[in-house]
Amino acid sequence: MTRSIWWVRVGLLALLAAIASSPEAQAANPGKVVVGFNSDVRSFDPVNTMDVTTDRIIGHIYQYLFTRDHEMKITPLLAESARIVDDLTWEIKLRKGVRFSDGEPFNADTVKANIEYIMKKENNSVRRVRIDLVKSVTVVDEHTVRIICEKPYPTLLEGLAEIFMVPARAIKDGPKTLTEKPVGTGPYKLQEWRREQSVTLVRNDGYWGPKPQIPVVEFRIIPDVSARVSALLAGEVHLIPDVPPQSKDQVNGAGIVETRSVTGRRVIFVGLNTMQPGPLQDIRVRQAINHAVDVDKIIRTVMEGNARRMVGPLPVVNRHLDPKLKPYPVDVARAKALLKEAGYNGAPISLHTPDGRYLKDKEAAEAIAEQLTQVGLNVKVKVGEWGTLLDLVKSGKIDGMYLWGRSDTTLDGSMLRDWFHTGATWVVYSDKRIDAGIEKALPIVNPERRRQAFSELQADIQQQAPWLFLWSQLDIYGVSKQLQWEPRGDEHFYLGSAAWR
Amino acid sequence: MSKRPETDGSDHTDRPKRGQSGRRLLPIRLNAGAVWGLAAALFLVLEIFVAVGAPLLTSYNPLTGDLERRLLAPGSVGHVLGTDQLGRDLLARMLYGARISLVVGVVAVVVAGGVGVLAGLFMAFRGGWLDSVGSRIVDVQLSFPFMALALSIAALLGASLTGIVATLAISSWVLYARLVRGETLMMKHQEFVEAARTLGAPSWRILLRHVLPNVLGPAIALASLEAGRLIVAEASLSFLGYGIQSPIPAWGNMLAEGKNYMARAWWLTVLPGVAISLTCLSTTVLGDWLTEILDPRQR
Amino acid sequence: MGQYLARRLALTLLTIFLGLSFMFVVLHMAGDPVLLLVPVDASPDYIERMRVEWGFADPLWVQYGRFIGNALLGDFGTSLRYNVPALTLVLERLPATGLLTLASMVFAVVLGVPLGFVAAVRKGRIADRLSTVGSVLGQSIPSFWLGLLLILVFSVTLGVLPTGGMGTLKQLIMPSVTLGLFSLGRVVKLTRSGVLEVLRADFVRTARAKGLREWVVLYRHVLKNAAVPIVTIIGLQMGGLIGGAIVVETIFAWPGLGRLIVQSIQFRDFPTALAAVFFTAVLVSIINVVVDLLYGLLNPRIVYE
Repeated sequence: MTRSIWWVRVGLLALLAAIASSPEAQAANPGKVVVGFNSDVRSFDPVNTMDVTTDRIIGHIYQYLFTRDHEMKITPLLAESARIVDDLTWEIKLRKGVRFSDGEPFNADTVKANIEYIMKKENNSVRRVRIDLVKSVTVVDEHTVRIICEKPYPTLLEGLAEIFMVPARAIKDGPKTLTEKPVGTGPYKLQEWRREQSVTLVRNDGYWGPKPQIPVVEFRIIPDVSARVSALLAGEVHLIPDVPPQSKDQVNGAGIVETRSVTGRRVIFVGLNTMQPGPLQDIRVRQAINHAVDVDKIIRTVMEGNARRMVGPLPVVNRHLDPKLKPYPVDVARAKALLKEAGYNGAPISLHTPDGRYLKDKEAAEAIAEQLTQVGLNVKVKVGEWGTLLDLVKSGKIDGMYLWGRSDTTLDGSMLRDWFHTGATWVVYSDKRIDAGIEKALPIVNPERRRQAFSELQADIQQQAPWLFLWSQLDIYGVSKQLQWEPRGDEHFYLGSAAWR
Repeated sequence: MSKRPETDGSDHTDRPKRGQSGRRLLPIRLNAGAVWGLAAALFLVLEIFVAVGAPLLTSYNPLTGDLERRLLAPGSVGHVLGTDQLGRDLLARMLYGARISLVVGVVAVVVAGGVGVLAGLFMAFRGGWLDSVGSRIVDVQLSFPFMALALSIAALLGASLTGIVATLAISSWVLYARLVRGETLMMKHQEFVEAARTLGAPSWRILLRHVLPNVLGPAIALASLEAGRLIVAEASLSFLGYGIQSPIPAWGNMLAEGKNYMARAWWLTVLPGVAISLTCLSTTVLGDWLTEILDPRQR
Repeated sequence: MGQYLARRLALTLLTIFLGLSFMFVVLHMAGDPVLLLVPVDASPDYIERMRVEWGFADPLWVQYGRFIGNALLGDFGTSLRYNVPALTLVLERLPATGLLTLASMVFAVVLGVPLGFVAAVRKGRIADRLSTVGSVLGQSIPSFWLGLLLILVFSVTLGVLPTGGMGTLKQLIMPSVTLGLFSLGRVVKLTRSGVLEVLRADFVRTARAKGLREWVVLYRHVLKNAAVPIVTIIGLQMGGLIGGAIVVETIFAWPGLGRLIVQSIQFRDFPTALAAVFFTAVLVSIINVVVDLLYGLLNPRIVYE
């Protein structure tokens, strides 16, 4: 036998042996939960990073002063209570006996260091925008702080629910030291980070709260959504956060897994650019658009029922949603009449959309365009690369309409400012009257009067039709039947409170 | 530059027979290769016919669909091949998609080939620093990850039909340049070229009348291989989000969109996938056969 | 020889830099990079500050000069997305891509050489056509579709292979097969033609005439000599594989350079994108030069065995 053939045979045998004997990684760690995730953490430094993907993972290591419960109501976490002292001052009592995983105690000095660092403009912390009305922090005693604001700030606690607390030492040395070595107060610690492959968290034995039942959590990066679903079905991962609607049946039929859904805080809409000359500057055209599109039908077909209609400028999960507000009725005749009245001459209007950025974005855009064409609008769908779209929307130069998503971060009427006030980032709409209404409502502290102010605003904005109002996305999670865990509306996993059956 | 074996699987044997002006006689033998080659050519011609005749073969509009009739399986009433995720008739989309996919393949290849052949001719004939620099550009572009180039260009030009064709053409012209350069170099010292030179014929005339016809053969064979590869590449670009954009149907973007429905609606991937694969297979088989009969290194 | 090499390498490097410059300019023209690097909710204030901090506020030619100047010294800057040196990211991913490319090549060769051999020896018959056409099928199927089909069959339905990731040998199988199928066609064709060429050569006829047994002739002489074009094609394919691995890496969650390139371009993480492309181009160029030299060295041996 010539040598070449012999080597080939030996090689093949060795290969087979190696395949047969490779260890099953899962057996080594009973109780471990593996999450199939779409992208990696950008950095473990929460002061300079603000990224939903990153936050969902590091939310196990770091904690906020306040967080949300399962009904998405603000509830204290590292804080114990809060009260308003006067118009510009909040007093917050902190939880006692909390330590960071490196032993450093968490107290009023920690809070002061964190917040003041973020508020200093020179530090350019990306989180600053969440608590932008804060002026300074005073330490009252070891477990009490007072936060002084520039203006009355009814949504301070909602803002603090987005600020992770890091050790004062890290603030002093510079938060960038946390980029690869996080130190937090949370139920888990970082065990291993293999970039673009996995993030492995291990239980923090010094945790101040109830001991997590799950000893190890691994976030495995699987970029392609079909591959993620396959991994779930094959039992390689126990949880994925984004089952596409059309795969729901497949997941539910697989026996070992099931889907669990929750209404998320992502709102999807079609923005109508009124800052560029064109037919969209006429309110009648915008209203016609809202009358022409059968949103319920699109939810039923394209989204396969996995969305909750947004009747006006606030979504169903927002506490200030006016329940009495009615959606634009589907009325093709009225739409055509409005267009005629406005003198629409058939000028082409683009409908820009990203592809894959939001669930079924392109499909929805195509369906919407078709319905608009049926009332006589000359609509062309233009799929754009995310980078180019961002640029066009930010600069206000985007021509026509664009499918977009925003996140309802405060679940409060104050989102109206982020979404409709002149000059706010990503807003291509301007109405002085609406601006005045928003500015008047924002600082109102009294809950009843606040609600009243926002209700009027909502009706007003709906009537002005700056958007084609679409829906709130339903977040569909694929979960192992053995895992006791419920999805949350704020996209956090918080596996610290999960358990195996 | 030392000569590597060209990656086309041709059999390297005797010199071709030549006529007076240096033109080769085409030795088309009716062997097994010919049978497969002709079969492939026939298949492609059939595809072209079907694509051109799309409006006659279906009355559905490939761009609009009925939302209430989404994801119908092939064989459903009114839809022979079923419908897609927006209720659009799949047969219509396959037929009109054939147009786009074939056009992309052909146009990109013609543009790339045109530019590449001319470049190769000039580089080889002029020689000197033009050749040195040109060869380095060719080498480097070949070593540049194709996708990086394609994505950058696509980011700038946007995912329009012209953009995609331009991207594919720009990233593949170098293959023709390298091939033609090699062939021209070999011809440079052939007797008939020397003869023409001594007779006082100007360079461009030599290039056009004597060299070009002989290098066109292998270039055409390469073009056939490339056409298939580019049609597959269109699918990959669509998968990454940079392909031809909906609602315009092209097999590549249909396959990419359908991948999310593989469990629920297999026809959304299988139909365009098989179409792409068979087309590429045909162009490759055809290309191989053309190489056999057109390559001057052949018998 | 040394002078030729030096000149060639210098010109190659120059051209690579030209290529990078082209990418640099093109990516800058395709939308505001800062917007892609900051969170969607960032305040306009923050956006402007980051624009300055990352150097995007300077005129384009200044940014370009800075990039080239630093790159020539080996400093590709810090990744704008991950806040670590771009070079670190690239080097982290290099072994993964190397492993995948190597494994794919092994698959293509282990399957392709015997197939090409059979095709040549049984030229014109069914086995020949089946081998050649069958291997071409591998490169006619869009790789992402093939990958997903393999996952569907082997991971979800049969449960014998993992869906992706890197670490165990099992995880290497499907990605390298998917990627390797692309080279299979070429390997088969080249082996076939190489073997055919040798089969016709004089010394084989001499060996046959001497009465040596058929298979001795085939294995000993033919394979050894056909090895040369095979080696060169391996080298050439490496380059293509590195670039073509992007799709496979995405489907199978393989943490390689291909994915890094796509992501950094999408997010306009200039330092990383340019560093990754530079490394890939240099690597492949080196492989090409080596292959060229190798071929030149090995070539004479064929005829004078």
